Amino acid sequence: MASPSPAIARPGAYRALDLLWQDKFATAAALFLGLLVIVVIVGPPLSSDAATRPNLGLRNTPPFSFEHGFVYVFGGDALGRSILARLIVAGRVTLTIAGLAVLAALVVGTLIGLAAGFARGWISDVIMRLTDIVMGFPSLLLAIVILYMFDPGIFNLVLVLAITRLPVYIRTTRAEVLEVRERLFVSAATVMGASPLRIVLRHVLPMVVPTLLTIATVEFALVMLAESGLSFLGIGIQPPEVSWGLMVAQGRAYLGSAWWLAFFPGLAIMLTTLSLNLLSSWLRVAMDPTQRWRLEARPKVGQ
Amino acid sequence: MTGYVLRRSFHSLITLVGLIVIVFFAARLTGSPADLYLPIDATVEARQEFTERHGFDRPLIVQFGDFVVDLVQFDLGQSLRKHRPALDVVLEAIPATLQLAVVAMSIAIVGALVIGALAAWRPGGVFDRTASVLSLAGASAPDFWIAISAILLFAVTLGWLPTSGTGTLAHWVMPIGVLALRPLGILIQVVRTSMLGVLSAAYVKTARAKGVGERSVIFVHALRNAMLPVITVAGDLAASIANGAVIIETVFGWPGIGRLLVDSIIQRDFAVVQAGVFVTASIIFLMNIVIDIAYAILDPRVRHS
Amino acid sequence: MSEHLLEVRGLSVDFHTSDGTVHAVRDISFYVDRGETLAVLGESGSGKSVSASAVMEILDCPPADIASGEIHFEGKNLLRLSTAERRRINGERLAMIFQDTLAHLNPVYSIGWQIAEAIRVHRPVGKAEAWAETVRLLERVGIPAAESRAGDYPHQFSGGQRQRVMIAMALANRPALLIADEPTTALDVTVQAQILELLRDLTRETGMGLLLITHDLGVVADIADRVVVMHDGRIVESGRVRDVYHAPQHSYTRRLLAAIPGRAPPPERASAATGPPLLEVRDLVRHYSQTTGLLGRASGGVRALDGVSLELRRGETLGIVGESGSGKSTLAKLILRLDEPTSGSIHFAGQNLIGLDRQALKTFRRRVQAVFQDPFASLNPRMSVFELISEPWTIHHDIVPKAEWPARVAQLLTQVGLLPEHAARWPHQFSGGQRQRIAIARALALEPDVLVCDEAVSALDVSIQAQIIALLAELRDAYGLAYLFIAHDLPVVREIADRIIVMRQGVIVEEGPCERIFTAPRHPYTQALLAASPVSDPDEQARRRTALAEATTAAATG
Repeated sequence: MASPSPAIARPGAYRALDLLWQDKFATAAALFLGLLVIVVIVGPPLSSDAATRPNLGLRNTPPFSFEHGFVYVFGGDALGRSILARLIVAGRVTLTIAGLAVLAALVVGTLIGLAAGFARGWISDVIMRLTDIVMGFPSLLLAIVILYMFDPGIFNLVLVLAITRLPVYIRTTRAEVLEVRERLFVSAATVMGASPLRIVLRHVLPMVVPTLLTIATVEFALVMLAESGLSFLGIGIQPPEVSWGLMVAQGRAYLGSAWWLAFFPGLAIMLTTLSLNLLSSWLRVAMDPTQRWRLEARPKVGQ
Repeated sequence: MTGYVLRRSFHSLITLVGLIVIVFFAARLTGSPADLYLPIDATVEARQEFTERHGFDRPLIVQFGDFVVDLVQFDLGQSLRKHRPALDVVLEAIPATLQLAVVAMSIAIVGALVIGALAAWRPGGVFDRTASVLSLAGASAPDFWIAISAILLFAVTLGWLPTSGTGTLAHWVMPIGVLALRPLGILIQVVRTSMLGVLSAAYVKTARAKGVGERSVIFVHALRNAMLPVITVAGDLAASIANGAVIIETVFGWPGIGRLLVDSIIQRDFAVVQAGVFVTASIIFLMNIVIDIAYAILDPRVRHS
Repeated sequence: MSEHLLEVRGLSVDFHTSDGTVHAVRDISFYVDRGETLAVLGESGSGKSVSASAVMEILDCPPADIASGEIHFEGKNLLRLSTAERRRINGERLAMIFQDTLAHLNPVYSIGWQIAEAIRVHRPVGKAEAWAETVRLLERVGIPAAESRAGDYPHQFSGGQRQRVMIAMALANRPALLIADEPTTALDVTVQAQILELLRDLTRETGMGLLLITHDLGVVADIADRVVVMHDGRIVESGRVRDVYHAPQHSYTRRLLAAIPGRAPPPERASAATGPPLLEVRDLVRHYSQTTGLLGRASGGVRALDGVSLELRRGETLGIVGESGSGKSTLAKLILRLDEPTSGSIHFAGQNLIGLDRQALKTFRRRVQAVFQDPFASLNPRMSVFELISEPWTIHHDIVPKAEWPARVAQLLTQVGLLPEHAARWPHQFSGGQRQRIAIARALALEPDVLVCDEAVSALDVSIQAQIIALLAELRDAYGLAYLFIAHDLPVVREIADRIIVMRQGVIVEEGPCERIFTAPRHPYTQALLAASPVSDPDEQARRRTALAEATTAAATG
């Protein structure tokens, strides 16, 4: 017995990739998202000031013409700025806000959910009633009201989006904790003398994390849509900052004359949220042992 | 069953009261309420006068007491722009939104039941795969973008439908279509998953073993059980359809509560915003009770719990 | 034209997965005649339930695939019929009942509706007529107040009553053949005896054939005429029950029969109990308050444990036996300090465990360990075997120095009959019996004085059960361990216990040395329990059936 290396039999990354490959839509979605992340990270430094420099000669340049270089492949906006370059910059803002909001909601929501699941009693009741309040009311309206009272800066926007999405994580974590803590291996750990902290970190959290990650993927899409909607209404991202939702709003005035101003940012939102949803529905099947055979099952021939 | 519904209603009521309390105190947290109620360019004197007239300089708890007293008398203050009670302004806008929401939600639920059940009938088949991707697309669609794309296509380019406003039946097509899109997409997924789960349930095997025909197996044994998660999600969607209404009404110039709220925010008419929040929350509160009753009717286990 | 009621010929069922094709059923043939009871006996994974599902056409295809074979029933080849034709036979001529009745009854319809549906699907009768017949059926299967209870829902019935409801539903159209898939497995022995009695009466009364799928050799001995023994998807032996039991031909059948617990008194073992009581429980009470009603008024409550006292000495094995609701598991929870008693005391090595501070409790936990019922649930699926067995040492740092962990884990694995290289594997790669060995190794890692075995072998197949009991006995003798051995199954306890406590409804009804309890039970309930648990000898079982009827009457009055 050389070392307790656990790697030998763990269903490895290869198996996960193999399962992913079984679902072509999910594979395409994963590739698109990977590419998108790379582009918004390396894109802005490469495109220098193409996103911000007005070029009145190129106002509302139509797309798919390479006359003005690849930068204008999606055309130019009302001030003659490259739509491609602006898409990349706006994508960075949109993804950052959504990412931060999801991360904040995930971490805080999970912690509160763990507490609610373990505390039971009145603490748990109070937490659940509070989540009901947030959950029972339209999140967009809530965000509108809050952003009315406070300034619609990026920080407040992230805060609002995170708060409106907290209940999902709290409810899921609490429900899972209530289920997992009744499992025999938790009893076994208690009998061994494990501290509550150890039980949470070593036994409960690892069981909850896959579910939470699946949810976070969908939530990323939902938060993106919420941010875009708020920015579209003019109470989200404020110029000169730009996000995909704001680009759609700005392009709306030119709908009849230059449709591409609003079309491409909207398409970017749609493709990203669709990819996230495709990936999440794959994750859900792949992580559920009772559903996994749908991905694994192969035709009889060739066995 | 009454016990269950009463208990659930009590929970919803707590939620409603909690929301009112939170909005009241959050509004006072931002500094002087005068900043919320008055235009941005109001003079210092005007703010001072406003604060004193409405008693905003009194202790918070006294203000809250007055606020509650007003609330139970359905007095939610005056609209600064329209110089009328805020509640009246809001209530006038409600029917337009309700019509839109009810029609869109009915289309979404019926459509989802049919498409979702058909998709679950042959999982992995062509129909299922197409429905899955399209429903995901519907659930992922940025509604404001779909709305303006629809205007561009059907109103501006083809000229088939009016761009905005109300009046004829043609005015209803785009707002309802776009509003129903996301709930439809989400509900198709829920119905399909739920139906798949139910169709592999043990009691479906029992039904087949006792010779029940396949149509009865699906529509009598499976569907009623599959409806349970659908009802829960449809209830949650009631809140999200209010989100959609805000966007749709703004884009299509629909005279409902959503547009009223956005307009009031831009015009800084806080009394209307506050009244709008309460009325929306109350409607959702009533919705939740209806859903709880529907749930209790469908599931005897809930009735006896 | 087949002269048998049901004849299965050369049936093979495959499951296609990415890990390759699993041959669940391989080329099996058997038959059932009218008025006859055929038992298909096998352990988990033997393919017995898959075969029954194939006959009933309720296999999920995919992933299942009927690769070959014929199923003839009343002269028709069932596999050739269309779905619609099959449905006319299902429930009319051919009916089935299942183990998990709660899952197999539709939760949102009343049981009366579900039975009436079975009638109306096959016969053109009116609603009122179907309902009247439903009530008659419920009365026949022994549901009290059938008229009013017909409108109730499945979750409002106990497990035994639900099985009666399922039987009523299956019999609605007087089928020629009833398939019963583990019909009594989830039930208490006394209830099992009643259900088997009912099935026996009904077959006699209606002349239908009964195809019984079971893992329980006692049930087979009790009710079957002929038996087919399945192993690994194949039929290894078949014949009349008496012949197979008394003169098994196949080595697997012989192993199976040899593994049955409690057949004969185990070799005399002088109780190793020494010294003062290690564990002393006094007047332990646990009440659960129950709130029901509109305003949440407390209406009574459950007295799960109602004044239990016991003692356990070093090296001693105390068996605790009871049916569901007897309080035996609550007792285990309280002793393991997983739950707080309402009143009473638990002393361990002279120290009262109630109200201990965290540090003292941790010290106590080191000395009392547990092995739980379900080895699939008691091991964290995300930890390797090495991590599982060494986890106690990460909690109690002073037992094994970290450098010696690998060697000590290897040693523990060897002791419980596994291999040192298993340390690098994951729980899901092991069978149920192997997992239980891992759980035992983990419990031993803390070098405890007492091991609480809460239904530790109940979820295992008979042959595995025997192995685990042998292992526990061996470890006890090697380390001088004391066991609290909790089980619902009397024969299993006979194999290992020195003393036995019989519990019912939260109280101890009888206590005594192991053999005395079995040979001369004093309390009527113990007598009924013993009489109800079927022995795996068809002749002996027939004799005991009569005794049971008398004992039940006595227990009801006493």
